Amino acid sequence: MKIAVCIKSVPDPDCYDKITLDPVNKTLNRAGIPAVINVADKHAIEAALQLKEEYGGSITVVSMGPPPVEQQLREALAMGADDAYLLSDRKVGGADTLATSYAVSKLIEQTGPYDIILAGNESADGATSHVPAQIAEWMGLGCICSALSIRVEDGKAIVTKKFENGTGTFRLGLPCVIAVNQRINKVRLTNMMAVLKAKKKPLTVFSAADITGLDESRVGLAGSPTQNGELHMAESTKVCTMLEGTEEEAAAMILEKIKPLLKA
Amino acid sequence: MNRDIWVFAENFGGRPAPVYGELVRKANEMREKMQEARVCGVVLGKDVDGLAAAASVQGVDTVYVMDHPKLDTLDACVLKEAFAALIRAYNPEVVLVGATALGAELAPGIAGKLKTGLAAHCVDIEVTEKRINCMVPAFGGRVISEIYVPATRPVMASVRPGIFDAPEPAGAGAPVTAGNPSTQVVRADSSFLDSVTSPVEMIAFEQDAPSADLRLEDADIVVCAGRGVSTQEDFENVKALAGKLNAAFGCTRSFVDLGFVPDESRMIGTSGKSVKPQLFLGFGISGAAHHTCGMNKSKLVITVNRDEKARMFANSDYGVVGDAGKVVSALLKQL
Ligand SMILES: Cc1cc2nc3c(=O)[nH]c(=O)nc-3n(C[C@H](O)[C@H](O)[C@H](O)COP(=O)(O)OP(=O)(O)OC[C@H]3O[C@@H](n4cnc5c(N)ncnc54)[C@H](O)[C@@H]3O)c2cc1C
Repeated sequence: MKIAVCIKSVPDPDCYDKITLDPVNKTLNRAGIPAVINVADKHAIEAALQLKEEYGGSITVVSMGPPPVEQQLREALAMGADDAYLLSDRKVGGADTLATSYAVSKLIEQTGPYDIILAGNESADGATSHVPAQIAEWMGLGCICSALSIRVEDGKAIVTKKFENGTGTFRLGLPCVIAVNQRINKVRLTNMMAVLKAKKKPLTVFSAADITGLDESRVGLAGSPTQNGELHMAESTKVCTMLEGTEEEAAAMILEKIKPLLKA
Repeated sequence: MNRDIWVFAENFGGRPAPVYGELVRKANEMREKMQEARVCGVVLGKDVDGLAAAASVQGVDTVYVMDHPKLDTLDACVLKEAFAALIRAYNPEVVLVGATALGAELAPGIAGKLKTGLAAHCVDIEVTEKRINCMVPAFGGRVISEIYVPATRPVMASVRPGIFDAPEPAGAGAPVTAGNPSTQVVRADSSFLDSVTSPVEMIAFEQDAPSADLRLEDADIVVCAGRGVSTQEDFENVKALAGKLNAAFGCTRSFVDLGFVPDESRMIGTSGKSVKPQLFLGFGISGAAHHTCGMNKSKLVITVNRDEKARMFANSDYGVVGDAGKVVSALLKQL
């Protein structure tokens, strides 16, 4: 079983409250916020490790981004992936989800073939959840997003997914794309030995020119059908009045405020 | 190219998903600024005449239907073929899809197929003279980015349920009791699907057991537990308080991660539900953007946090600096 896991390096979501907007240039100031592997993608790596334990095979992590993303790929290798590829080129930067999914699908084609392509269901920063379904569309593969379980039976993937009113079970021909929900598993801890071992695992960086058959009109800003207008901070318009006193007194004051809203 | 605005009427047990009415209402607001625009519903499925009639709500001019045995599924891979074929045949300018479990997977598939732009999880859509601006939250809702689609069509946007207002009783999006004679139903040719094979097959669907608990999206009052509600007893007390107030119980992420609640249906925020109740009572919530973007349209917000600097207070009308568990048990006693 050859498994690819798509990962994204994102600014640490615990620090999003520190993001500010430059009032003049209208650009984001996110200086000092460290980059981490997107949380959902860690669950995708864990899902890959469990599939490998069950069915054997290898795990390749792929990503697109600037050169420092090598660090998150190393971390993925320490988690237990076997090798890693990074597509890093100014030409692929500034991409929306369609252009990103195109470039990543080409990286997957170049380094594959794979039986299963895994990803996290959503990223902490953009959180569109578009990329997995769009990778599948570019590659003409079947796809399930927000997967809660994955197993392989008779050469097909059996995947469950929660809907508003129940749980669906799907059978997907291989290869296929599966984006995992964070509830699919608990991510195992890595140890120092694994971190040291990861330093010796193969990590290859490709430029756009290294990717066979990459249509440059489909990547980067130029290949993106959506464009960004202005940015705004989501600021609350509320003004908070503090209710002072002991917990009992505060509770009484809360009841006073909400009484008109309570149904008899 | 025409200026039609399409809204996906996802099949929720023979009726359109509730987000359909919310989007039809929004589409009707958009149409006022788009000359000659029509608002149209889109119905996919097998034997869906009833659904098409139910989608013929106030403010919908036409319902486009693709009816085929293969569409009796939650497999987005085959549904996107049908949806994309409809778009190619009738060229709408805008396509709105509710970001339900299915819609969130279907919309990017369609946009990928048509190589057009899709704005995710919009919190508003503005029609200006020059363009259609989709307001898209990023960084957990900390930042709102204007997204537009300059060259390709249709402009696609997904919207999470509960973000836009529900229809007024007789307004756009509201059901019409005796069928809507002014809505035209157009049944498109679906025979091409005979030869379409999807790589995905839905092999089972297990319906959730019916629950008597009030759902977050239906509640006038929401009582929400954050991680500051840290003991089992306090957690149960928050739920009991919700029960006493006829409120829906909600929570932040950690309760889902730790398995205290079974899934995201009780979680409020970017990855869970968006609520806008008359009253939001929050206990021990720090106020991370990922959470507040799911509740910041609530009318009256009262929160308790032991940290006077908690960001949650900036999203509150009234705040109490104190122990969440103690305030909850005092409330239970005094009620
Ligand atoms: C991609 C992504 C999606 C996410 N989606 C969601 C989402 O949909 N919903 C969501 O909720 N989160 C979501 N999160 C997580 C989110 O970023 C926050 O981590 C989370 O909302 C914090 O929950 P909290 O406020 O309960 O906990 P904490 O941030 O730990 O805050 C606990 C608060 O309780 C207070 N407190 C502690 N003890 C007491 C006490 N005894 N009495 C009173 N106050 C006390 C503390 O002062 C603190 O302010 C998401 C994160 C990511 C990366």
